[in-house]
Amino acid sequence: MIGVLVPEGSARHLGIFRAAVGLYTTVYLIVRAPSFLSLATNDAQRFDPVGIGRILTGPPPAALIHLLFGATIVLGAAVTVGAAHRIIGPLFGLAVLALFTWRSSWGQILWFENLVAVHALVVGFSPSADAITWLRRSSTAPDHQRYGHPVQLAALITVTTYLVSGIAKLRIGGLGWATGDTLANHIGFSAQRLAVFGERQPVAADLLLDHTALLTVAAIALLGLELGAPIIVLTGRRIRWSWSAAMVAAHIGIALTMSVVFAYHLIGLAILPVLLARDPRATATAEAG
Amino acid sequence: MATFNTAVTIGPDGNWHRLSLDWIANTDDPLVAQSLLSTELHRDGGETLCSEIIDRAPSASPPTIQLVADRVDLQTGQLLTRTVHRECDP
Repeated sequence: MIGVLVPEGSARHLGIFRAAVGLYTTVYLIVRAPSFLSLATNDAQRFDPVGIGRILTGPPPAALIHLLFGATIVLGAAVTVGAAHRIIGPLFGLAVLALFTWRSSWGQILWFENLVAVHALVVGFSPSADAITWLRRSSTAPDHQRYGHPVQLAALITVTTYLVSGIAKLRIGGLGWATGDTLANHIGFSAQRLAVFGERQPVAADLLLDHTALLTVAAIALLGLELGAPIIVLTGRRIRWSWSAAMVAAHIGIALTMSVVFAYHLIGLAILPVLLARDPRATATAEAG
Repeated sequence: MATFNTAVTIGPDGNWHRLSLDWIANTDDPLVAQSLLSTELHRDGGETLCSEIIDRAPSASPPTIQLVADRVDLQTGQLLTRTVHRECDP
């Protein structure tokens, strides 16, 4: 049982996850720089701090935000290559948390950034640079719980976000979700919201709205995948890969029908720790042996 | 049916056109724009947002701009009713 909760893992797998989170965050910040930096000069009255931002009485000065933004990019690049990780790693995790909290304190909580921030904290505060670094691609460090625990923790965090999403669907939409009605309303709402802002409607919205049977299947499947997510971390490799492929497919579907793009999820980084975590049954068998 | 807050330009001939996300809210995210419109209309009736939209206008003499609530049929996309929250003074 202990093997399931705190499984052994390889330094290489944790290193892969660290490099992926570091690279994604760095590229994301560079690509989204205009969106972030434009907020630095926003009307102070719009600042509505959330999370750790609640300690603030007002928005930080623009110069400080510019400094934090630039520093986070540099830290992200350093984390990607695994440089001076004992110092850089924690700073990176805290910088990402601070920056994303600040951005979500301007009236719209951007849920898709929350998972990135928590994963950044996991890789930042764990020994994730014992392999896959600019100095050494492989590692001679033996498998250990100190490498398995962070990956398993990140996997648990990912599946918990999906579980919360599934519960929220049931709380808001009730069993209407299972009939596809609520999903149809969401797709229609997203399409018309884009239309009133003069934007093009999602390419597959009309197609899916014309096929209600397909919508029902998609709604039930999505609900099952989300509510069943926590079980996935206790399963073997084949089921994990199947579930992960289905989740990525779901995000592609959401992008095509609602134009809602969760890049971190869409390219499979959110579910990466689920795939990298050690098969708990194998660990338990090894322990028993 | 659903009601969306948004912004439109009104031409001299009375024809209207929708403003882009970028023009309304300096963003490419419809969730951010929706949230901003809702918050600003509640806060000061859209006065501050109006001045920001006019500042972002591509021409020096921007057309008439209105902050509106459009009631739309979700199935067909047809505009059912429009309520004008505020007309932005240039």
